[in-house]
Order: sequence, then C-alpha cells, then structure tokens
Amino acid sequence: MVRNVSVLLPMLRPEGSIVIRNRGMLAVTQIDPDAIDAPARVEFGTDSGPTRRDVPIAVDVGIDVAATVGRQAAGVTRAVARFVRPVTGVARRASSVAGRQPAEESRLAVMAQRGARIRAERTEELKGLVAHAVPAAVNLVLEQVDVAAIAQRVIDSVDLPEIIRESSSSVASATVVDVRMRGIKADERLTQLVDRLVLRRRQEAIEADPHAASGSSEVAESAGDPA
Amino acid sequence: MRRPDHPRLRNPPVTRPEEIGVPPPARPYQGQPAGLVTRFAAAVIDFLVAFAITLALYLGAIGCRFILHPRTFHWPQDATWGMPLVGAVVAVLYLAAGWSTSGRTIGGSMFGLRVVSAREHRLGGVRATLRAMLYVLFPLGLFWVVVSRHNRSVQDLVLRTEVAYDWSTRPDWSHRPAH
Repeated sequence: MVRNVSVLLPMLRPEGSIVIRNRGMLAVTQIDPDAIDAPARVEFGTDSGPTRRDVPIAVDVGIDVAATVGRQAAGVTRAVARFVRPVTGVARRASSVAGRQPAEESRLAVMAQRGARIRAERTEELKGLVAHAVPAAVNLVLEQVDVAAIAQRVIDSVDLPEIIRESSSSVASATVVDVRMRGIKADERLTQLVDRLVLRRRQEAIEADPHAASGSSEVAESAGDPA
Repeated sequence: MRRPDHPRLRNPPVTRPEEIGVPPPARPYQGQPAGLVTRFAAAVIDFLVAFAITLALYLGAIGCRFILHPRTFHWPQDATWGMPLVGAVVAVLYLAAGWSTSGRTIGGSMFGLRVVSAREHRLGGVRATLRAMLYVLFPLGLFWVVVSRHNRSVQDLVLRTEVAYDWSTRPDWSHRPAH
C-alpha cells in the first residue's frame, strides 16, 4: 500500500489568500486512507482489462519484462544480468520476429498478457489511490482555508456595481449613438430625395421658361427662409 | 446638412466635439440644422412624454377623488374638453421647460437635437413658451422643414429659432445668455 503521496495544489499564503503561480505548488504528504469516511469514486472513463488489447503488444511485453526484471532485480545483480540479456534480445527482435516464429510468438503473447494484467492492476491501484488522496487533500486544504472569507474579500475587491453600471451605460450609449446616426442618415436620404425632386421640377421649369424658373425659385427660397 | 455647402452654425453650443465623446462619424454633423426625420421622431417622443404626464395627472386626480369620497366615487364621464386642454397645457409647459433650460426635451435628447435661437443663444422663457404653444396649436408647421433651405419649421421662421444636431451633454451657454 502506498503511504507517501504527493499531491500538487496551488500555494497557500499565510494570510489565507490563494495565489496561483506558475511554479507555486504545495506538497501534501502522509495521507492516512483510514481517516477518510467516504472516499470519492474517481472515474477515468476507460476500462482496461487484462485481456483487452488497446495498446501495442510491445508495450505489454515491455511491462512484463520490466516487472520480471524488477522482481528479480530485488535479488542479486548477477541474476538481473542473466535475465536482462535474453529479454533485451527478445524485445529487439520482437517486431521482426513476430509472425515468423510460432514459439517465440506464443511466448510474446504470454508475456504481453501478463504485462497487460500488471498494467490493469496498477491502474486499479492508482484509481484507488486517487480516490483516497484527492478528497483527503481537498479536505485538508478546506480545513485550513477560510473559503468564505476569501470569497468575501474577492467580492469586496471587485466593484460589481461599477462594472454593471459601466457595461449597461456603454450598451445604452451605443444604442443612443446608433439611433442618432440612423436619424441623421434618414435626414440625409430625405434631403437628397427632396433635392432630386426640386431639381427635376426646376429643370422642367428651366426647359419651359428659363427666366421665369430662376425668378420663381429665388422668390420661393427667400419666402421660405428669410434667415 | 441641407446642402453640401451649407454653412455650419456660426457659433454652435458644442465647444469641441472630440472632448465630449462624440464618435467620429457624427462630428461633421454637430451644429448642422437637423432634418425632418429626427425632428419628427423627437416630437413623437415628446408627445408621448406629455401624454404620459397628462395621464398620470388624470389618474392621480381620480385617485385623490376616490380617497376623499370613496362612497360616492364614480368614474368621471364629463371629461370631454378638459383632458385635451390639460394635455395641451402640460405639453406647453414641458416643451418650454426643456427648451428654455438645456435647449432640449427628452425627445431631443434622445436624437441629439438642441433648440437654439438664430444667434445660437439659449431660448428665453417667453420665446420657448411661444414656440411650444405654436407647436401645440399647429404641429403641422414642423413639415415646413422639408421645403425650407435651412431646415426650419414654421415655428422656427416665426420665432427665429433653429434646431441643430448637438450631442454634447453640457453646452457652454456662459457666453451666450438667453434671448
């Protein structure tokens, strides 16, 4: 059973505020799984059984070889050397030999199956470890941190009414500007339309009687706008 | 604005448009005589405001009447000419108050319009009241803007006033007293 776990968490400052830094980490060690009442269940989303082949065969072969070497390496160095030599040879020739030599193929298959089983066991152990360690670490952090005080301090530091006021005023201002510009453009279009009509009338009047048309337009402008 | 070569107002109440947050597309129009569309839209809004004030007064009066005489209360049936008259008075007061103080009413403020005298002075109380009365009595005079060379309504021609685009929130009236 693993007794020493390192969990990476954001650094805690003494005053209680959380400062997330690029390299700021906190190591939580010596977590006792017995002290946890209801460990959370962690789902990894993948189901890797001993017989499932979702990785290359060479990986499982390597895992089996590493496990075998590890077990034997706990003994004598000489025994390790005796195991490593043939295993490395097999691993080196695994890709080229596969499919041509039935005996070694079956041996590789057995090794791969054994490696897959070891991998599945380690995965389950890791799941259990995370399921115990993460809630314990989170509870440990929450016990030492006054989250409500931190949240209150953050809320106090953020001028929410001012932000809402600025955003709403900017939206309202944009709307007013849009309405005003639309009005100005509409005025321009109406002016152009009226100018075109007046010009057409004036042109017709000029074609009919140039002197009378110019005189009447001047009179109309002076009468319509004395300023 | 009426003509491409139409001169801007000689001394518009806008000091410097870039200082008051006027967006660049609207800066060339500041101080130009306003057209019919914006003025008509502003007039519609002002009409609605005056109508809302009148309605509030009417309902308030009825509420007071109900509070004072709850047993004999009945909804008034004889308000034939009274309410339009009250509405006209309210509209005149509302328009005159807006034009004689900031030069703009709520509708004018929404469309960035300001009423000034022909010399770009702020309107005095008498002239603002007369202008409001003319608008209430003869609202169709506004449509003379279409044919006027300087976008002036009948009321503008009679009282020598102008309506210009002015998006500034605080016009500088200090050197232009009311006339």
